[in-house]
Amino acid sequence: MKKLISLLLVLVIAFAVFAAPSAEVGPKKPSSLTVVVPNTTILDPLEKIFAKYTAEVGIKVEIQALPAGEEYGRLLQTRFATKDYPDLFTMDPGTKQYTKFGVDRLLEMTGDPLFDNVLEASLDFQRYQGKLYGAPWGGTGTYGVYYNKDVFAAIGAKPPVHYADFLSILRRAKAAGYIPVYEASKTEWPLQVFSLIAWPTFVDPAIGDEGVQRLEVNELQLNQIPALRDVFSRYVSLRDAGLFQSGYQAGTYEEQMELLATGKVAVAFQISNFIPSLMAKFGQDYVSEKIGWFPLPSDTDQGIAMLTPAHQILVPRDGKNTDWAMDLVRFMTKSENQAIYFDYNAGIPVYKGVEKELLPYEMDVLAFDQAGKAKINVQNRLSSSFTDFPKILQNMLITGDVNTALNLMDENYRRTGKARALPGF
Amino acid sequence: MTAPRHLQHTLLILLCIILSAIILTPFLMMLVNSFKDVRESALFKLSPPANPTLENYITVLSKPYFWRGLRNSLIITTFATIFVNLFASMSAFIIQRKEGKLGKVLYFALFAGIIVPISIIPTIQLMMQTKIHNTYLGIILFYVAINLPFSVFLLAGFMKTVPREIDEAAVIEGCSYPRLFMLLIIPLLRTPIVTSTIVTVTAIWNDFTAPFYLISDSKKWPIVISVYNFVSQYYTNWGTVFAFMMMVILPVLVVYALLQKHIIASLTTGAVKG
Amino acid sequence: MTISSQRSRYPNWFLLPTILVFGFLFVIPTLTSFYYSLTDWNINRRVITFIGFDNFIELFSDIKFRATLGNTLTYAFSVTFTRNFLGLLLAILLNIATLRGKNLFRTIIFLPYVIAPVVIGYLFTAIYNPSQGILNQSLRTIGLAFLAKDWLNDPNIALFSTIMTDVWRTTGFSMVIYLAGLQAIPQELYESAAIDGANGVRRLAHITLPLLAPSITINVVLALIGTMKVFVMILVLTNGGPGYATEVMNTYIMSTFSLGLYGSGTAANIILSLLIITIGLPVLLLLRRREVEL
Repeated sequence: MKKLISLLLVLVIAFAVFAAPSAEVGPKKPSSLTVVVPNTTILDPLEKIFAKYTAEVGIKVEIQALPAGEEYGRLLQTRFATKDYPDLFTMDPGTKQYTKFGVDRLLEMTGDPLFDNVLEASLDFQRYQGKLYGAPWGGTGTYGVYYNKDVFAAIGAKPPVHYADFLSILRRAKAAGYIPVYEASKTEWPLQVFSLIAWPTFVDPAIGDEGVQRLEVNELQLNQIPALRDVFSRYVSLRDAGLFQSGYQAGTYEEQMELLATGKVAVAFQISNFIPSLMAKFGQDYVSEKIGWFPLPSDTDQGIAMLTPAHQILVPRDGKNTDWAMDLVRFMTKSENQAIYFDYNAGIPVYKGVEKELLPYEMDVLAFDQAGKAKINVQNRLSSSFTDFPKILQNMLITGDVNTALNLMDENYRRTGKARALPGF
Repeated sequence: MTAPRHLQHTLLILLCIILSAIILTPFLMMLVNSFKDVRESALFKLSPPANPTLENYITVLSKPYFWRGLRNSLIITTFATIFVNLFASMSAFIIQRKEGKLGKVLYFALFAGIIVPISIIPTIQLMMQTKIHNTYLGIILFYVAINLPFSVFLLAGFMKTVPREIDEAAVIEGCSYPRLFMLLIIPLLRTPIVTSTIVTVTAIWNDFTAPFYLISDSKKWPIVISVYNFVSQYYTNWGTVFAFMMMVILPVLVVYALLQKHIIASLTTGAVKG
Repeated sequence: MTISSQRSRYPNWFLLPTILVFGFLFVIPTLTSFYYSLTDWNINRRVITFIGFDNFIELFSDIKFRATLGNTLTYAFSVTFTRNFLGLLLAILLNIATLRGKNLFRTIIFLPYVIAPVVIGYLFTAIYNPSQGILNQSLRTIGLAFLAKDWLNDPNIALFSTIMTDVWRTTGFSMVIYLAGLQAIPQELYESAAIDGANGVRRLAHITLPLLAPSITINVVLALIGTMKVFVMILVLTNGGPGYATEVMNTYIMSTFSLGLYGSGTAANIILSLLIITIGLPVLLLLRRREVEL
């Protein structure tokens, strides 16, 4: 009996040790801060900035890279629910991220001096009911059609002036033995790019800002937009015309980069982070020289550019070291540290005074923007989400069934809106 | 008479060798490619590395989360296994000896536990409410809960072979039940406890689902989740991925090589009895 | 009388730890899952409402979910059948008394079973690589280039490839259970059969298989239950793709969970439980009855 009791005692102690809350940290300086980022983040600039911070302030910064995508948001929301807050974390753009976590659980940053340095247009994008909860992080990017200039030169092509021209370029590329379009189907997420860049060119003109507003409040259904159906049909007909690489179901992001950069592929539908990844592999000069960008053309003109806002840094309001977390946010967003970020990443800076030489393709994007021919990614204009979109498109490419894809997209959009209890859903 | 016999035997051996090759080739590929650089390892060739490099292993071993993962796996597996064995033998002892109503109900509930899959989302909710989500304690208790049914069956089955007279004699001599259990029963249950240990350790060490759902803090991830997160970051560099995976399976391979006979016997007698 | 009074003295509190832990983390979540599956519970709601069978109706009207159900059943039955068939053959082969090195072969064939499925999944993404993977390389080398496929990305064969991976991983386990069963068959039966002039096939049909019945039962039931719960292998090999070609119940549940649709995910979990019970139990009872008849 004694033995049993002492054994139980050992067990109880063991339990207690595990269950014991970690020691409370007072208002004093913490020895380290935790920063959560998606594991697709390029870590080198962060590591450099944090090393500088540690040297200056004496606080260590630990990066936790969590699985990217929907899983990332879910993991963070779970950590919020269990009050296991990171000190700060980066998030996709948009105020819908605020509502995801609840504005009452995020540290309000309104009036913080760091925003004095943010360009007004970007600042507007961070405001939710007049208040700021996130500091912009990174630069404005663009999704679009990235092309290999050598391939275009070889077939005597220039960036297309309308959609038919675009198709004819692809056909010429194919005839000349190049892969016209490389789709990274296996990687899944790149499949969305075509439809998303087609939105400003084809869907926005058809439904207008008012149409997007009606989508926002669920007065318009996605499967009732003929222009969107048309976009899907165009996408499927690219495949039907044999303009994707053969065996495109196995296409990966890595191979897409490799083959576009080495001049085997004419174009790739991609996001702007594509460029820094290419540069890491092939060198900055090579990439600026070889790779160009254009928006998806419309039936009559060059089309509308699609812009993605900068990402953002959020701080949980009930975190243990919010003062120091904000200190780190201010440090990260200083001009010279933003410059370190842009040594490794593409994009147009959103903080004033950041020295960054724009790449040729970024000048093109800027030109579209200044001509009023640019629109923000529709995903960032809506509070609900195109849930499971890559899978829907992957399946559409297997079946060729545009209607089913459209219906699924609509169902998921409304289901997500309903789940988030958005007005109108 | 002997010539065809001999031929037949040789053919059978050959067949076995081919089958073994089918099993071993993937592991061999992982091993040789873990010593190759990025470009060479991406070819997945079975040939020895042209320029053998330890770079991949250095990368892996320099990652703090590799060591952390290993430590976490050890902590979680050790404690969960101890509790599974202790609780299961206590229950098996009473269920088999007492044949009481409570024991029978429990036995039936445990049987359901073997068939019915866990309801992961309500489990997470419950753990959050009781503040054990994302803690070692939480995941250890969870593993105890899901591994108990099998071990109880195994031990209860074995208890039948332990003669009741032992208990009776001990009780007549004034021995208390806890004492009887600790001093007489546990030693007699040694064999099935070893079996239960092997089964539980294998199940927990290799498990992906529980930490995937129950641990959101990457500092507490066991090694299996570290692999998952590592590969999604490094999947372009197969050499490094293979090196990481080699390091993960190395402890398992060593233990398996040393105890293989026992492990096979354990896992199967266990399964048959269960 | 004395026996029962002596029995009643065994202390029930010995059951307490098991009741507490198992009750807390298995029984309670399982019971509450019935309630949650009837609510609109999701990550963005702090208040949850009862919505009846809406989640179930929504699930069955989702073409992705219907594909998931089909895939799960195909996967479970194919893996179960194949690994039992191969496992039995291997067991018979490696039970030949005169075979040299049979212990080594058993050890090797069982090996994949002790390796983490996540590692095996990644290993096979390399093996199935269409251009460089050793599977297609070997097929080309031996002149079977026409058999070289894009194993994981062709929607028509992706599920097959995941099935074969699991067969590769678990056949050794089935084999060892059959070996244990074979070794329990008294050798005299074979000897007397040989005297009666029964050939190999007849001995297999009339002695081996009937006496292996318990092993068959346990093997089939364990395989069915295990394969219907498959998760990480699929997650790592195909993530349910291409399209919905390899989506199975647990990857589906994972994706609804990632989206924070907890009520719906719980409903899917209940459907999985019902599926396992309605398939596992009858198989168990059927095979048990056959055992007796044989």
